Amino acid sequence: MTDLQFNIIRKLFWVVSILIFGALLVFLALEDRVPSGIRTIVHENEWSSGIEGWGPAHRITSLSNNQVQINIDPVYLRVFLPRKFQDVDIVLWYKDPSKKIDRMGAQLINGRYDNWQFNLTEFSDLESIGGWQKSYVSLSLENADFTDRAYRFILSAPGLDKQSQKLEIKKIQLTFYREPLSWSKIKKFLHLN
Amino acid sequence: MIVRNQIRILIKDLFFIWTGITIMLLFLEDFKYGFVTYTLNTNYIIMIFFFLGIVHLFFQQKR
Repeated sequence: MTDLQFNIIRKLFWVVSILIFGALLVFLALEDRVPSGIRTIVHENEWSSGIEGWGPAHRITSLSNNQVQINIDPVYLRVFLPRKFQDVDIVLWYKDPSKKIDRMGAQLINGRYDNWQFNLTEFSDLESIGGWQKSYVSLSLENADFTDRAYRFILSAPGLDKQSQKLEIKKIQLTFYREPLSWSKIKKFLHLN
Repeated sequence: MIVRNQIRILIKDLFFIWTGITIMLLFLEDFKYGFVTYTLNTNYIIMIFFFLGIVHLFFQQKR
């Protein structure tokens, strides 16, 4: 390879690297900003960096096929997000033979570590598929606690510890909503008004 | 040898570019907490940086 050819290759190498890095920055910014205003997270009890799965661990038994059995209520789920959202729609797939599942809620801003408060809301049933019950709950995140960039959700099923048939959870889908990015928001950010 | 020298220069370039990327991503992470770690694992970026550094040093010493 002549020096001239090598220099052209070297310049191309730099240009391509800078373009790839630029694209990476744009991708990261879009992931961070959520321009559509909708972020859907599906948790099938597998490890994921954005979710701290059902806990505390001593109240949970892991079953086969990535299902979890809940032995004592309440249990919590933490979802990490790049920024705050206004509402969340939750769809839960579960088996509840003793009919103990009650409500779900998001942890509210309280300022006290010894007194957690939640905006508990009742589930509405959607359908039953192959023995799995699919239920829906919609929560407001207006006053929800967002410490460490995470929302904490509670699932309550009072009296579950006294039952022989426990609650099984297959999957949870959380769809978060916030105001989408608009031209007026960009103008406000750039002080163009 | 020309080819060996050219490889050395390319590895040096790659190391410089990766150093720049690592520093910029870590600065961004610091300015806006969670900007990078939410999507990427920064540990791997730093690990690749050290790996390229070692390869770069190895080729430089072979001169």
